Amino acid sequence: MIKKTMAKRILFLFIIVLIMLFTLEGKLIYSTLFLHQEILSLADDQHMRSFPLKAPRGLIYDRNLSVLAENSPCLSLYAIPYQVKDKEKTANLLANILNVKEDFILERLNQRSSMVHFSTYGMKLDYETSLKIEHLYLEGIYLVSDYQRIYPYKTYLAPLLGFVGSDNQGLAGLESKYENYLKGKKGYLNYYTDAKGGLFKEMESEIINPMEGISLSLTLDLGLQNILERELEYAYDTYEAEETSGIIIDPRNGEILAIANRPTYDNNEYQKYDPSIYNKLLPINNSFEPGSTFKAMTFAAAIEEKKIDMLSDTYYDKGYEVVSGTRISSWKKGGHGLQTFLEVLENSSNPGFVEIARRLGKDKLYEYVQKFGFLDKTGIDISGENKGLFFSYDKFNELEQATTAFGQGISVTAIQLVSAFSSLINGGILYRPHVVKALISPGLKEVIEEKKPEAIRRVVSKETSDKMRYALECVVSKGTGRKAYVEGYRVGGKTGTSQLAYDGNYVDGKYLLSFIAGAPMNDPRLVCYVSIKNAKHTVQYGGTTVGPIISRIIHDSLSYLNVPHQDGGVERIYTWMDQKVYPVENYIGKNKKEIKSSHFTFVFKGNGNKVIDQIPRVGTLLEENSCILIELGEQDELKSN
Amino acid sequence: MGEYMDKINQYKKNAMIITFIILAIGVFMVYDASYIWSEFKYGDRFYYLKRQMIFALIGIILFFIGKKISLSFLKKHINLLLLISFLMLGMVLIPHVGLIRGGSSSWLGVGPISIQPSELFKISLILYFAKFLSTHYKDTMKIKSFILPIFLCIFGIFLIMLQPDFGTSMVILSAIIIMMFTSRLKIRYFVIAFFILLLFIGILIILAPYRAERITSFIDPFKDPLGSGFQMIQSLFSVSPGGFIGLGIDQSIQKYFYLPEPQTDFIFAIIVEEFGLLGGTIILVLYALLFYECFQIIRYSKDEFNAYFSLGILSLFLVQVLINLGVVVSILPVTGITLPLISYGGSSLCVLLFSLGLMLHKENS
Repeated sequence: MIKKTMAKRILFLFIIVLIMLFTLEGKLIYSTLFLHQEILSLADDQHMRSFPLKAPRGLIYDRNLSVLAENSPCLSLYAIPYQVKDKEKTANLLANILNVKEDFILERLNQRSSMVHFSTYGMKLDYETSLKIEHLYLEGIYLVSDYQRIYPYKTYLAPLLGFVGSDNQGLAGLESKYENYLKGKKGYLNYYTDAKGGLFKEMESEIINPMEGISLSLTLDLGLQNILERELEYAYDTYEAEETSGIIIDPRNGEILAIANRPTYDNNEYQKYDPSIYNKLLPINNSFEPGSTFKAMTFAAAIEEKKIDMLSDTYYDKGYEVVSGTRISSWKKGGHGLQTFLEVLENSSNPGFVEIARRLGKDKLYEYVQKFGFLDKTGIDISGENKGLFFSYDKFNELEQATTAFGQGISVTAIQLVSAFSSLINGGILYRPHVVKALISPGLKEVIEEKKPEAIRRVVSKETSDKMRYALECVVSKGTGRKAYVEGYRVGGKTGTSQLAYDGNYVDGKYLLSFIAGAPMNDPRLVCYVSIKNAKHTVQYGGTTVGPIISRIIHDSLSYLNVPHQDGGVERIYTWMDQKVYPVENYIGKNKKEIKSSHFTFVFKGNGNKVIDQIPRVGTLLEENSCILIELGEQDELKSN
Repeated sequence: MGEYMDKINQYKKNAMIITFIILAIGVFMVYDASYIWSEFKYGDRFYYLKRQMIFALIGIILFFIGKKISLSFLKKHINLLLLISFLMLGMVLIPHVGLIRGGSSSWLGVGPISIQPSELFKISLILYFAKFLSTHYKDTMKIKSFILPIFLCIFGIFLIMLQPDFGTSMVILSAIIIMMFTSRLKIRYFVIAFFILLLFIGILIILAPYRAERITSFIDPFKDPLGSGFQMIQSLFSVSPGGFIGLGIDQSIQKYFYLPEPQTDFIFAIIVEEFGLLGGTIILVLYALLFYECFQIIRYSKDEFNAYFSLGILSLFLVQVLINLGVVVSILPVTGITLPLISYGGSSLCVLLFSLGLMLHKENS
């Protein structure tokens, strides 16, 4: 038998060993039962590999569900490096097809990751390229379905819509702003692999289907957008302008119907342009000195506050006013003489507005500037909105008040201007402008969420608004806005001409020509604003250069919207600057001798005495001294037609 | 006396049966854990199984040879045995003589037969200590009397450290300390030894800073998941998903190249992954039973020499088991010690079975 001490110590030892075994068992229980879930999910992360399945991006529609941005299915190239047996050969073949360096492909194929892509070179391949690759039957090389974003109207909507990157992520414009709705949800093909990237044949893989993004329906009307784009392009080219910018808004609810500017870019090929152009949606991002267009707001404030009666109160324009030692002149040498305040507006008389500012006083003027929304961003649902620039209340002295009244020395955005102008003619309510009308579900194409018009505040009363409609119509019918007149529609508006400042200094001979107008004035359906920056080869006056553009836009837009012609507008007064317009009579069936007109000239074609056709047709409005084409023939030919 | 004899022979019989059960489980698990790597490396999924079966067979033969060898014979020739061990430990360090495997020059051999001198040294040193402790039992109160044995022990460990083989050194040292603990040596020496050990570990860490990384990574393996924490994490990824009953036989995912060489150090992780807490507990219980039988054998030994020798062998065995399991369940930092009787490995398995055979030899007064 062994010694007693030894036996005791051996027993002690055995107890220690038992304690250690229990400790091990305890840790084992803890690991397998208590850490189970946590570690299992971590382990799954290690064992599971995911193959991403791209989600089709939500579409962008205009208000009538015409597609403005869509997806075209295509293929993108991926590789699972472990499965690529002959990396050199694979790299060589792919490099030839994709037109990249072999080393680039080889470097990717040698990466120790479960899956690699070939950046933009392997993304969104065209049909021919993907077919070539498919026919190589390369091991470990996969063509995965992807989507190419297509913008059918190219340069037309680019500044608003923006574009997406190689992974279909929104990078600019609405694509970026509404990324969370549009992007959808990537799907995944999850499968178990061993540590070397090989597939587990016996383990089931799991597919999580991608979810298409939510589509946007914009307030935009493609018909109006095309009209605006066309006119801005025309002005940009004709006048070799630095910039042109325009916006059409529905004054009844703040919906943007069209918004555009030049220069622009093609968002299908955004890489080919200088990135500085990407975020230039001028009516939103850019602020400028509004000039006389601002007078409409000053005028409304004075009427609302009963500081003027536009028809009976008069002002004598002697050609200038002196404010705090500064001489403010009228654009017409010697001034306009004695006028009613309506005529002050019609003639856009600066000294007249100095008087209006004096009557309003500092507090009221400042209050209205704030009420019309010129101290804040409008809060439109487009990124990068500019706030404009206005005096602080402390620095809003007499001279600042005077210049503000006629729109100088301050800076506003086009969207602020059209919103404020809308409130003048819509009954007095300032609406928050917006461009997204509804969110539309993928698949069922149902409206998930509709954006309701948001009234911010009442700015002027209904009565003032009615007076403003009349006053603004007078500006177009009788005043400085005559070039914007549209036969058959009641148009009201205000011209603007402001000297451009570069680096904070006014530059001689460079102007921002602008015009803001609403129509039809009996029931305004749209407000349109157009500006041309630094136009060349033309009269540097907003009314003269932009007026006709506004006229065409309003005419075409209202026709497009099937707005019926209106009578009973303010009678048009013609000046030497204007061409009178007369309707064409019917001449068909008449004898050649009967063809006479005091307004038009005629060109005859064909033989015979009877008129068998005429261009233009009866009822068309033509400017005085225009030419009408008359086709002559025999009586019988008319019958056969 | 006869009653004791019957008792001890019964314990030895039980110990033998448990040993063979664990061995059988081991052979199966080596195959189960290794065939993926085996196929990848050698194109033969049975490569490790075949070898392990041969080792087990040799081991069993050695086990029964061990049972026939009289301990008193070994006791007589212990000095010669120790001398041979030291010579071989020295030879292993000579370049081109020692075979380098896994970064350590631990092997001697010609052709397919190769042995680890450190394995022979283990048994020799334990025999030597058993003899020393049993013959000088009365004098073992004071550390002074241990000068020569401690010198031999430290010298041998020093040679093994040169290979370098940190794990084996620790195991041998632990076994010797356990043997000395059961002498009459005062407990305070062990307290002192404990601090010396800490100092020793400190020096080792300074000599090779990667060991410090191993220790810190064991506290938070996710700090460096691809470096020092890698094996700990992979082990945890086997153990925890196992849950109560495991993923099922052959359902381990971690053996698919995630755990490096799952048939050796981390074979217990694969067992738990496939058979869960239940399977792991069965293995623990089997080892516990084996330890129990061995402790009984020691208690009922016919003399001190037998008792010390058995205790030495048991210590070698249980220290490895405890360290290996401690590593797998993340209680200890990664050491590179395999799980006796279960992990793949020829030399260590054969020596272990042989020494168990020596310990379990039939006693006939």
